[in-house]
Amino acid sequence: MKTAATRISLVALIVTLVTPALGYSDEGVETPISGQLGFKFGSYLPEVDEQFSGGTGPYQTIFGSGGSLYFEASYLHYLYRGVGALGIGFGVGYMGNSGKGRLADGTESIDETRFRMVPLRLFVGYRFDFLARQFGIPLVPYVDAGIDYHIWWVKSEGGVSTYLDNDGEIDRGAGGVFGWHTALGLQFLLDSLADQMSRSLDANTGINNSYLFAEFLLADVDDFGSDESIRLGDSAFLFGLAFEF
Amino acid sequence: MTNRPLALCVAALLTTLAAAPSWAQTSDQVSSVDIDFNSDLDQATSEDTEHTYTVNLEECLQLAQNDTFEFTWVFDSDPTSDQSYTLKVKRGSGSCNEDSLTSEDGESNCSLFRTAQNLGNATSNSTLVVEFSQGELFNVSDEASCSQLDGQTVTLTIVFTAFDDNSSTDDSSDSIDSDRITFAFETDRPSAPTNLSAVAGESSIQMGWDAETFDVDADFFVYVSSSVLVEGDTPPTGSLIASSQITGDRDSATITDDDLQANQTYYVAMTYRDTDLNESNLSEVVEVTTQSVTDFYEYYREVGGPDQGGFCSSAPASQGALWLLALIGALVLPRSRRKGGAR
Repeated sequence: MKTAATRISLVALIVTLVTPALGYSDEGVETPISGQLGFKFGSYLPEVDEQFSGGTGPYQTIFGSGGSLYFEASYLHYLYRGVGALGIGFGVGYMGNSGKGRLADGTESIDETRFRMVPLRLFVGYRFDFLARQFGIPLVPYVDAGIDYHIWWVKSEGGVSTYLDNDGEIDRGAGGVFGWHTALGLQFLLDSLADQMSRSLDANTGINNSYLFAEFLLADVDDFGSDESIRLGDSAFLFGLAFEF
Repeated sequence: MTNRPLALCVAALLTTLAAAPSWAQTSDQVSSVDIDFNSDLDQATSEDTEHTYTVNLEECLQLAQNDTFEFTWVFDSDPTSDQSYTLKVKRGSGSCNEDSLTSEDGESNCSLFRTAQNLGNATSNSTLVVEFSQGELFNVSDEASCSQLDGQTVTLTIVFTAFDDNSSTDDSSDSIDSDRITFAFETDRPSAPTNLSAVAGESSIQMGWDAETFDVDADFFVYVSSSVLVEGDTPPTGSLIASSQITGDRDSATITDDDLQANQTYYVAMTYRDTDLNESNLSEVVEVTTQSVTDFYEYYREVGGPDQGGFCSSAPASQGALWLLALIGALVLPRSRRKGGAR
């Protein structure tokens, strides 16, 4: 199985290597490129429980140990294009999880409780597309890093959750947490599979290149180590589709 | 809960004298006839002269009240002053048929339910409102009398005649239309769901019941009250904490309502509504007590989670992040404007 996959990968690599630098072969036709819009998804498990030592943490108790489906849309605006492309970007994500509340004896209630998170990211990104542009190798490694602000909230049937703290104040289960992230990924230039289609797409929509990509995301979101903040970072593999225009 | 419009059972009759039954003698005056019971309800029209409507319990109880039907007829051309009009309504079947109702001789053999003659000067679009007193239409006054009609049919025959006064002795000049409405009564309440169970959370109640014997196209309803409900009573209409029509699963449901309070006792019962839209009486009543439930944030805090919520963190590092964001914006935006469209 693994051998077959390896062969397919090799064939795909050879085919793509011998393919001309698609998307860049007709400089007179290609429309200008200013940035890249990406859509990615993956499994995300906030590191809420890392703050708790011993036993099962509250997040796993309520929502289980598995990650939740995570979506993100991001845009990288190129500020420099030469040996690769350097730009600044922003992203908006979404993740939600639902579980059952707990009764006084610790057993599961029928009432649902929901956790939601919207990460906002501002980042600097670099894409090494020099080889793709010059030699037609349809692989583009990239890296980005930046500041995050994750908005989160917890809802139950009565609306946003509240908690009466020891000072007699009512705390709302909603807030925002700062952090940082970095991502390392590899993009595969889809234009290499359908040259004519990519040219047509460019002419009709202004989308110059399309990519499939996979990335490893490392996010540390806890107000930069604050002991007073919930921890919402994670290490996750994300996959997606990007359009350069 | 939605009610089937009463108009479904007695909406309207639309016929043209051009397409009138063979016994119609002439068709030179009236072009169409509409009959609309309870004119505030939806009106259905039909070219047919035979109409059958199913009357469920709720509709029967409505018909038991003071009622009207509106009879409208439209002329081909402006009527002349030498015309007069008669409307005759007969209830039930028997030897008196349409032919009897359309001749002066035969009329004496008919026990007319309602007749209206010399309807006055006609206009191009005339309307007659016929009022019924309580119970007159179907001889029903309450649920018991409606239930007695279950499985029976009642037929109304309605005949409209336009007479030419200048030739009153010549029936052939009269313009006649007739329609027949048959009401089929389905007024029995079905059985209520059985084997009810209920589990309460804080603001939710999870219900279970035995649904195997019920029609898959029919509906279930759940009633939740802080007052005592009684098995066999008619479905309550007021003072309810919650009532819900069940969709989706047919043997379980979760009722969620913000009005449900923790640590309170509630009474829960169900009904079943069959395909004739007759609703059963209340099922057995289950008593449940809601409980305090800890949601994720409460649980997080109870086990030592520190985050007090809020969007403006006081952590120094977070303040630094804000300054950093501002700095990036100040550095990048002017450059971005200059380089817009670069490739």
